[in-house]
Amino acid sequence: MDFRRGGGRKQLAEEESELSPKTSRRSTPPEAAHKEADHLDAGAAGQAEAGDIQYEAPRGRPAVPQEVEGIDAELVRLHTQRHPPTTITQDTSENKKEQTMDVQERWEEIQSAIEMENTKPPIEDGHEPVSGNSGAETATEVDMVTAAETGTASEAAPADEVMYETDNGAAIQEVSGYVETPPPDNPVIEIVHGADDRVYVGNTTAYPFRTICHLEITAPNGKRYIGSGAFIGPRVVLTAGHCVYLHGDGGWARSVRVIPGRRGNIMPYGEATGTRYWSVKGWVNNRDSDYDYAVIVLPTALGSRVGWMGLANLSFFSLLGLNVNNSGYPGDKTYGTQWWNSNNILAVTGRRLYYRIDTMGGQSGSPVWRYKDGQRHIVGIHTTGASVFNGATRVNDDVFKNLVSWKNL
Amino acid sequence: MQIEGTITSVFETWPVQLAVEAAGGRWHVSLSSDTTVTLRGQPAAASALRSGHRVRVTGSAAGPDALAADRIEVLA
Repeated sequence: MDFRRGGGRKQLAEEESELSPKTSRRSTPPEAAHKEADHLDAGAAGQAEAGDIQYEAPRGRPAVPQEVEGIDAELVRLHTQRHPPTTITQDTSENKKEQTMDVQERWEEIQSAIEMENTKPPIEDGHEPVSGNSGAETATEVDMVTAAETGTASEAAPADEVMYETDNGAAIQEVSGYVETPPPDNPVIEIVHGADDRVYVGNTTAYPFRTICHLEITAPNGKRYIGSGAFIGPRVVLTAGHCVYLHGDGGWARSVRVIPGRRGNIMPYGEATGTRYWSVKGWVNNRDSDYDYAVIVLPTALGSRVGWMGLANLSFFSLLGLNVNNSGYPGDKTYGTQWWNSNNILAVTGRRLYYRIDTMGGQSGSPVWRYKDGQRHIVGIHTTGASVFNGATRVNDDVFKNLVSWKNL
Repeated sequence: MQIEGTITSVFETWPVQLAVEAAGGRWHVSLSSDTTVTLRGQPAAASALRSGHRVRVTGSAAGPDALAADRIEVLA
């Protein structure tokens, strides 16, 4: 492995200063940063070539919670206090004193997982779309569906769509989100739960929390699950593949009840039930967690009421060390309540993101997003936890293309 | 039926779903609220299950390489 220190410093420094104006800027000579970035861009394009995983610890970088609207500022302060910056480094000779056994073990497990992923060949047609609906016992392979075929694009509130090539720091591909509906005048309730790092979202009618949905999933065999999702278009909710195609329960979900911005028994925007889904062969046919993503297509344009976040396919070094947000509906809390958390991405591969964000069952499918320049873009779909690191399906080139083609279904 | 293997992924629906690597291949294991979990012989919550745990899963077949778990014993 080649652990290059200093990679992506320029971009990290820019984000740091943007997120926390009071924080002293990291002084990185622009030229040096540029050279590093040029070098590292090749790694980004190659995305997780075996033996070429790189990591730079954001040492000294404060764990700045990015997403504060809808959450009481005091809770954010407490969260930051309880959730200090992650200090991980590979330079053990210089920084041995900084390391704890916990962090070292965490790092070793991350390395092990990444090595495992890098030796695994990609599934050739893993991102090929597969659709299904309630009652479908097996996956049906069909061609890509366009808005014209569905005839529902006219319902869609158009989002500005931007796709562009870039070098450092910016998105490789990006679509913007949509915010229009003013939030209803609901009371804001904020509480802190013990020493839990997750923060209760008291105002789920604030953007972007209102775009995040509680999912009540009914499997083909009648079994019930809870999951999370987020609108990416007027009728389309992004989630994990295992929230709509349940390998242990007979396949495509019988139905998924989607409740955006739910807060306990309060459903400020109502609900909709989805029975039509899109995922990809890599999940449906191969059960590979690298391809664990899907969308739910709703019969109504509920997304036009709550809006949605954009999508971004960020480069390897834009993602590495990036402070991201996650908010979803864990099953261990009061039913139907939304919980937010934030931390840095610890490791990036071609198809996965790894971070140290506390999550629990029920948060599968919740968005992992970046907040920058006032814009919010989803960069991952949370899927797995209960480990020393939690993980998301990365919005890479293939995922991005599929999501863009699905978002206006 | 029963399988023995290592948890490789914990999919975070509620209840969770597991990927278990066993001698015969990879299994998808679904839990329910009735699934009992023991950790080294002691009763435990499903949230105690972790990637890397060696487990013995007892349940019923739920599809090709899929198992609906009645009982999960964490062995190590």
